[in-house]
Amino acid sequence: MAKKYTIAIDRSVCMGSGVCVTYAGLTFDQDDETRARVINLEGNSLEDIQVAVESCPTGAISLDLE
Amino acid sequence: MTSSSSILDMDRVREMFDLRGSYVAGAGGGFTTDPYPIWNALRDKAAVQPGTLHELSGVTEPYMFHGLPEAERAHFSAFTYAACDQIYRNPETFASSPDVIDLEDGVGMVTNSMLSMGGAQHRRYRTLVQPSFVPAKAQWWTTRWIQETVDLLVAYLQGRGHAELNTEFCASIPILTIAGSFGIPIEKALDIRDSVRNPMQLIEMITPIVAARREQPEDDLISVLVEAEIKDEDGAMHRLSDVEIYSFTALLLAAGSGTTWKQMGIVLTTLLQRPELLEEVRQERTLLRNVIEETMRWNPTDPMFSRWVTQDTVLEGVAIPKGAVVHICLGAANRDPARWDNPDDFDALRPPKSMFGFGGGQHICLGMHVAKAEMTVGVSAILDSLPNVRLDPDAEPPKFIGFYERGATAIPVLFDEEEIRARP
Repeated sequence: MAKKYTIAIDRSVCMGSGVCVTYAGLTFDQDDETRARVINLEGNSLEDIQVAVESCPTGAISLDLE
Repeated sequence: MTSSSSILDMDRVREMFDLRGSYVAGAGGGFTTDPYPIWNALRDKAAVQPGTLHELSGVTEPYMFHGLPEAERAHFSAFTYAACDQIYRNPETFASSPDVIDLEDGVGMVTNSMLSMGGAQHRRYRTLVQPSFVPAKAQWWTTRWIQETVDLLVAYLQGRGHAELNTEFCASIPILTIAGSFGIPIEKALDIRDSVRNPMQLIEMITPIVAARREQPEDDLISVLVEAEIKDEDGAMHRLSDVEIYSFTALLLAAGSGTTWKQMGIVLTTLLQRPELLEEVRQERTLLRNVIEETMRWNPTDPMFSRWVTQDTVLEGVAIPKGAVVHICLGAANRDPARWDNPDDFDALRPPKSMFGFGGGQHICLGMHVAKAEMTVGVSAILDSLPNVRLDPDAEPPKFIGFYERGATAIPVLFDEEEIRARP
């Protein structure tokens, strides 16, 4: 059974670097203000999403495994 | 067919971009041995140690780089991934400057820029330019400047059968890309590289362009800076002053034109030394992304950056006093066995995970996505347009040299002389 998880992005912490997009570009993109957002929770594998979350330079993304 | 050789003075390019020449001697351009065994041993000994990286590595010459010499301060070097990560993620303790930055104070020096700011001030300036540098904008850079620059340079090489890729290809791409984005004509592009050492020269070149874009914005970076609105400390919106714009252009120039070309040379050399891998990448271009990422980990062009300590702190058990300079030895951290298996191996098939080739934290390289686009477009063009490209067996093989700024010595290649008629 696939693991369930939720992703939260703190917009005040996100600086729009785009690093998460480079590691999990099917799950994350950036809005008009360059803030990251989730476009498809299952776009990338959980592994790639975890890499993207860890890579965030400001720690703006949190991943909760349910 | 336009030839870049008639537009760019190749002798001047060669002198300007030769790692061993006077241009980067101060940063350790004459360091010719592989530093990684030394750095690995230092990292294995202790995560954090007193001293500068070059002194700890046995160098007696006074190399200079970010955070050096700072002779009046205590110095510490951090080697493990964990220690460097903590430094990057604690900008209040590990700040990007010992001083408060007011751009009106000192025009034109690279450190008088966003590079050295912290906190809310940094965030305000970074927010202004970040939209022009996000991954989605890489296509704008590619279409507006990178592809044309690369096509121009490759056209000069095609059919000749031989080339030195460092100076005849890599070195020119970032400077022409940045000059293009500034609206500076190609013939003047090398002059702006010269202005890294002479800030007034850059200001002279940029001033008329800024004035012209204020009158009539175009689809370029100066127009973005001219039109940008920044919210200052009391919440009022203001447009960037001329001084603020010069500061940005000086930073973009210094940061963008000195680094990407060397990293591209490292990528090309790494591929040319592995002909089977080069052929795989030629056949399957999606591999190039991982190749570039892995070279950034395995051989980053700038393996050290610094921070200034704002309060007494303890890092991995080592007490560091307020006022010290800490050196983030990211080259060593990128080979930490606690994070990567067989870290000294170049392995393009490693699953990607974050590393410090582009730095980390708030000041993570603004230009990283543009740099990757330049490298991707550049390397692709070499693979597409120089058939059977290979290292010249009769020439000196390329070596990676340099200490605080690293790259390939020279990349002499041979390729088949028949011209490609159509791009795939």
